[in-house]
Amino acid sequence: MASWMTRAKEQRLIREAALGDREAAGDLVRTYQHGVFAYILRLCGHRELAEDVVQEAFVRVLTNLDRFDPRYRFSTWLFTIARRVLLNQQDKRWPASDSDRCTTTPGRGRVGLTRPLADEDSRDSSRDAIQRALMELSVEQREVVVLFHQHDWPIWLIAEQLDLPEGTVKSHLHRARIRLRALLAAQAEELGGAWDDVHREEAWL
Amino acid sequence: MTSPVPAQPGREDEVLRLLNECMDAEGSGDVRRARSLFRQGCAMDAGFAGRLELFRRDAGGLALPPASPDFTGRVLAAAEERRPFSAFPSRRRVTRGRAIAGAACLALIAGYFAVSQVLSDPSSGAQPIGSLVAASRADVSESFSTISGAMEDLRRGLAAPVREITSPPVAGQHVRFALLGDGGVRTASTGVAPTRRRLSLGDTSRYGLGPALTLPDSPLAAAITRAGHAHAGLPARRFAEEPAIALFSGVAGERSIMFSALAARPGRTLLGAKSVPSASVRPLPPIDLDHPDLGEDNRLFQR
Repeated sequence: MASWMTRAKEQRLIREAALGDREAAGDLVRTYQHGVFAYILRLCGHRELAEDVVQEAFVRVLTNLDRFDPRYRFSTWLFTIARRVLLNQQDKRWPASDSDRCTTTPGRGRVGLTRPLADEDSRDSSRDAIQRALMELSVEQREVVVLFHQHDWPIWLIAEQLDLPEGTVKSHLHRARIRLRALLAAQAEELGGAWDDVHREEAWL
Repeated sequence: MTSPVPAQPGREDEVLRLLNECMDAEGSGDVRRARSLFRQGCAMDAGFAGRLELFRRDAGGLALPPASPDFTGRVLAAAEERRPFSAFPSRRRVTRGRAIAGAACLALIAGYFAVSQVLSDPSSGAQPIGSLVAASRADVSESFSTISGAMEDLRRGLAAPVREITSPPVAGQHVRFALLGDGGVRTASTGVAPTRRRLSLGDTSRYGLGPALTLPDSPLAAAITRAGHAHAGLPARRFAEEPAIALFSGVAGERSIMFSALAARPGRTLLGAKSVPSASVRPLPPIDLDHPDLGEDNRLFQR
């Protein structure tokens, strides 16, 4: 998902919104809402949570626009804040002590969900094979594959965002693709060919 | 003792690596590399193209954005609750307040240096504040009277040039001038600026310059006190360390008017020592003051 406005226009909107221009703030939200929502929803697999996170992230961004460093991309800043909000919300909803639902990435102190879906969420996402498969990936794999394929972020930017070496990002990306393919193939097999033609292919792994 | 590595898994790993590398290259827009990897993969595995297509479809599924609600209304409402948009202008007021406070600080510092300059004058000695203020006022009025007097001299053509510039200086040349009042400096008279015309520099604040003095009916067109920055057409260098009166063309852009005279007055450094004034000249061909396109930023007043 690319940016939909020129950088100059983006900078102008940010300046105006920082000065309290409601219209400019609205334009910023309208421009980036779909991208950040898709990112958060793919990460957590929980629509209601994703909506809460996106709303909170935008509110934080709009009330702290004067702290934005224009040397950086606005979308990167927004995604970083949204990601932090998500992790905070997850900590509140599913405390880290619940080892069945959460995992801590060794050495980084990051807490992320591995299987966050409640029953109703499973129902909501049952039609979304990709989402179900994504939720089977590790947090790092999910995040990397979403940023690369959904948001077209280059490897170096993902590495910067996740504070990981580029080689590690590539490694996560490669494993994520292979795992995703295996999961989708297994789903296709389970459904006995009632899948769409994308997933009706014979499993090859 | 190790068992021999089966050929098939190793080959499969290599195929998977090529598939991934090919996807990376495609995602990065590196078509040449993607083609090369594709050829390698096909040479290794007859089903490589089909498998790559499955990878692509998975990635395509990821790229499809999920249906998203419109957050605009609720976000703006929530932001309004946390910090009302109507309160944002108060930030502007705060900023303005900071600016005023900053200006006050600068004025205080400037006042301090003005006083310190007077105090540094050995003839002044210790004086009461009232005397200092009076001295400062006298200093300022003396400066202006000196300027006016010198301008008048120049206007009358009586000022003997301390240094004659016989040809327009090269671009960026930094010329030092004698003190105004002791004598003016006159470039070779090219008859550029017609008499009976009055040229006023336009928006001098644009160049960070001080007030302009105009001399009607004089080839000496304008003077600027305390040149902070060079004219846009001059090299971007500061004159702040050597405050001077300089004559600049007021016309932005390529055109410039070559003044027939330049004048400068001594400046004072922050430590109170007098410095040699300086100015720069832009050697562009003269233009007719009647030219219709002198630039909107500069107001040309004709008598």
